Amino acid sequence: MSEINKQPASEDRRRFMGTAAAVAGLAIAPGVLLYEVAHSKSDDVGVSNQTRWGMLVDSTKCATGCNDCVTACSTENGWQMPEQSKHPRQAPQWIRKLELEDPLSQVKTSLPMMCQHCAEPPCVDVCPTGASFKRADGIVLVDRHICIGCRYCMMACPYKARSLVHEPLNDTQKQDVPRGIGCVESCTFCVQKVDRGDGTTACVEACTAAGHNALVFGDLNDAESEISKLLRTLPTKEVRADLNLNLGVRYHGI
Amino acid sequence: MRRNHMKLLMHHRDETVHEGVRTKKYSLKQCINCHASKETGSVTAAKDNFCVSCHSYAAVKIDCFDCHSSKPQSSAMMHPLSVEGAHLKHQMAAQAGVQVSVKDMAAMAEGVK
Repeated sequence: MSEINKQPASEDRRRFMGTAAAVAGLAIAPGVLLYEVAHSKSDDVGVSNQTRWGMLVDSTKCATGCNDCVTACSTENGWQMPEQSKHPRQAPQWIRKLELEDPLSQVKTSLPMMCQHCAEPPCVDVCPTGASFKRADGIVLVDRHICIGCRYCMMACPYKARSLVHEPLNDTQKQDVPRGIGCVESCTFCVQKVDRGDGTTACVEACTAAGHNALVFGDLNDAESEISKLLRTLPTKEVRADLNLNLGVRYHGI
Repeated sequence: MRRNHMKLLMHHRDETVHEGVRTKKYSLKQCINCHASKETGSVTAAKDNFCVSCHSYAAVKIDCFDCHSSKPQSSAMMHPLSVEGAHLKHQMAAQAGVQVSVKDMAAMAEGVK
């Protein structure tokens, strides 16, 4: 073995390797193959920017007083509802229901508010450690391994979407959703479900199950997805569109 | 594995969190599913549980389970080959004093299911 190792690679072998590499290059060359690879995400390949996950909230269908999306999120992701917490004002909340009233016309609007999954997220801009990041498929997340709990991102977020875990969780976490004291967290678009290939989130499932159908989740980059078709027909708005953040969550009827 | 598991976990955690790779190979969940103790259902609850048994001996603090759950969500999720099969393998080897092949183990796992 040692004798072989001492020999430099022979000319023949070099020539062979060169040809082999050229053949391999040819096989990949037709763009079709690469396109196919990018679109069918197999389990051990990372996410790609071919997909951009987004949500459409139809506030005309969102029922006043209904809290199903919030409870579903709490159950799926293992955070406690603020009412059950000893300190409700600082309890983590990934999604919350807002009831708005126009002071002039007294028109009432009901809508869920959560992380808007901006394409240009301010939370990522301000994070001093790089813990706050945007995944290739547009989901904005916190890498809790790197988060130091400084809460700059909470200050920077225009939507008050993030919260800090103040109390120890004592092994009550869900196995799919690790979370812990001293880290900032927010809506993840149920990233564990998305990666599993469910193609939906807990809040959307709950809203559909309750028969309201106010929430639609899907791929904004896929022109044939339900959400893209709806976005083409319904007039929608981004909250604080003046900030030019290119949000993943769009609202209809506000 | 004993010497380098932390490097492996560190590498896999970044691919999981940032790129969404969540196969069994990359999953801490899968480690826990197989290695959780039969008695406590956890890898850290008792002194002789999988992670703690070494970490207490080496006096290395283990932070993983401040955030990650140390228990499989249900005992049904435990891997049949590693939980039942591994115990059977040890029992059989101890009784007969012979080596057990991979084929035998697989056959036993089939039987256990």
